[in-house]
Amino acid sequence: MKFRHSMTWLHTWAGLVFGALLYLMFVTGSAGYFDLEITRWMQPEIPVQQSSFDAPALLPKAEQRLQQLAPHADHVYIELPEGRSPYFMIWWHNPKGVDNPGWHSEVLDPSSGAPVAVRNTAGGEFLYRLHYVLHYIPKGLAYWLTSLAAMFMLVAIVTGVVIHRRIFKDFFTFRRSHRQTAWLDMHNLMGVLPLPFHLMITYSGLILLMFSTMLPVPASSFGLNPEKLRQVYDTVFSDGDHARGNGMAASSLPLVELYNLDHSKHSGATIAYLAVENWGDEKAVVEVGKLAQTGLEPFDVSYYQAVNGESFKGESQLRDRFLSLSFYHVIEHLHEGLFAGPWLRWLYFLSGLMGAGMVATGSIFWAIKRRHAHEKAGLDSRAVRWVENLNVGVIAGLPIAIGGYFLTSRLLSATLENRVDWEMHSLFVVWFVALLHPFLPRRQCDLSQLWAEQFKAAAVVYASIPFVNWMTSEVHLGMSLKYQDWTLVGFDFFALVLAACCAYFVHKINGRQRVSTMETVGVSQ
Amino acid sequence: MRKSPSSIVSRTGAAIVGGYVLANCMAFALAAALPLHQIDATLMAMQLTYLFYAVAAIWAFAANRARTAWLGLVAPSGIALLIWALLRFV
Amino acid sequence: MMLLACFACACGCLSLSLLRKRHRKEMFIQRRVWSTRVLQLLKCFGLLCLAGSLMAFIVVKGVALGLVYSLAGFTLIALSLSVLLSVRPRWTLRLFGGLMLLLMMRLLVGGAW
Repeated sequence: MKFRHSMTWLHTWAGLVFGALLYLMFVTGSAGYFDLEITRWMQPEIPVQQSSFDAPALLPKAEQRLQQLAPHADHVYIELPEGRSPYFMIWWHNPKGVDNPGWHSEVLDPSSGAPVAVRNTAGGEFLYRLHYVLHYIPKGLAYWLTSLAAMFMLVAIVTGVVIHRRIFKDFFTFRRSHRQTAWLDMHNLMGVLPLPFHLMITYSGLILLMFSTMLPVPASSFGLNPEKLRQVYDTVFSDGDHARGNGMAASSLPLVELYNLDHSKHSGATIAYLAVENWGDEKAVVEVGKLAQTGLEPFDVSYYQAVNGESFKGESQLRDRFLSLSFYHVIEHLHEGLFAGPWLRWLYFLSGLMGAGMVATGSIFWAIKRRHAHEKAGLDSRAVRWVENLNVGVIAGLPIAIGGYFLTSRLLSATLENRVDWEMHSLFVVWFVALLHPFLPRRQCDLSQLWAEQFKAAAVVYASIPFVNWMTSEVHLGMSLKYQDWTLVGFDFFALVLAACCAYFVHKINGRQRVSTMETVGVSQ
Repeated sequence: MRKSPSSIVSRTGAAIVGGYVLANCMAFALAAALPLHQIDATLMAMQLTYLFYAVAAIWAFAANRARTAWLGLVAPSGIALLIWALLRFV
Repeated sequence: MMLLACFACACGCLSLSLLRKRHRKEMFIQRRVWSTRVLQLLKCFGLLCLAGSLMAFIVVKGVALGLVYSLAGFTLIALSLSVLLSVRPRWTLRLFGGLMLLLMMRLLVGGAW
């Protein structure tokens, strides 16, 4: 009994202390599963893809464009709008000593292959990065903070399983009759049903940041020798050069020939990208990535020598036999979910949102219980009110802020300097206002009224997204539905779904408020 | 929950700091003891660290007294450290 | 095969949820006592269904991906069932019957599983 008590205490506080940060991480991390799709929506200059992609016809155009833009590049990469990616895009890397060293990219029109001038946007990548790099604070600190929050989450999950009395019996139970049990049941459902996901995502999140938080371990094996430590780090993170160039220029086969060659070898597979290492060199190697059909790797990859199209096999390396690395890769793929097709991706997203819901309902349940206890004991409940207000500002405020971020991205001028920064600021400005709103002094302030107001705001914001899209671009629902561009349709539709959910919450809250006022009136009479 | 504030502070410290130290010491020993390539063993140990950390944090609050909690963290850390030192330097 | 796996998962969830008196009471209009024997059978059947669904996913998608698929599918199905049991318990069986009918039709037409 005593053990369960302490575990309950630990569960409560471990979850509460980092509740807001965990909620942020779950919500933005879930949005990150659709980072490409979100970025595509935020770059409306790319026209709606009007027919299926004709790679053999368009690949030469991409290659020509690369030769024109980056004659001295050593690595190039062509992304095709297949599978999940909505982008027909070229990337190139200039070595040191050439103008503009580093990686660059350009977006192409998937119908014609002509370059498209897209606006700068923080895109979905910002939301994705927000879930572990945070913002406004140094990267290292953010890694530690998010890792600590994840550690608290892990402890909360384990203790949550320990203290749940009827974890199997109540598996499908959601009692809505009593307010307090309803919140608890909701918390349990969202915690227990996707429990494997929660455990996986938390533990893998910790592991992905292990080179920030667990540095003493490699230091214990190799001392503080930076070269050795670098080697450990590279074992995990470097792709390894498959081939070194010999510096002799040679004309290689056109990429489209390699495309066709690979296509004839692996019929039925969809080629998603082509990458060339040591471009223009005698030893250039072409990597052809196809959407994987099975397994956790996102792509099946084959390599060819660019000069003659013969298959190329890299040297096998020591690390290919590492047990720890295969474990790490499984964990990494599971966390990032890059292998997931549309169905699984939505389930990933849903599970992530359920995590956010678990954190949110947990902290709401805590506030309700505390308020009961305080009122029973006749204690001052101002501190509880603080938490309740924060709950409103965090739980309802963050979705408003993200919606505001999408809207700002469309409403800011496409040519504005620093527009990327302002997009990012907008999210925090809106969130700050939403956090402040419950604390504003007013005459009569009922908690459910605050909830209703914020959800109303959220409903308005999300309902206006397809509308603003229609006003500010050519890629609105009319076009995207006509040409069945599901990425764009999905974004606008999901905004509407969210708006409907928020409106439903408002309706629920108002309904309950009406009942409770009627009850109090009845009692006083 | 009838726990004095000092006990809670002590246990929280044990969970966060003590847990981190224990997790690292265990990983040190594991990295030295696993019969794998040295880099492989180190990476394996690093990935298991968080498991030790979670167990340690839970132990810090499950123990009857705060002092027991600390003892339960410090003792295994010391043993693990000893094993590591023996394997690595002897 | 994927459809079949999902359906098996739903079967499993439904029979396991019937183990609780509260759900039985809400789902059926007539009340009658379920013997322990029946409940045990139900439990076995439910777990078998879940295992079968897992196997089916693994057969189609391979071990790693099959595991991910089956857990994700289970989460979604269990969530929908919980909500359904809470909001419209009487509809559960009808909906389930409808799904079964659809599946049979699909089988008769001979489409992909």
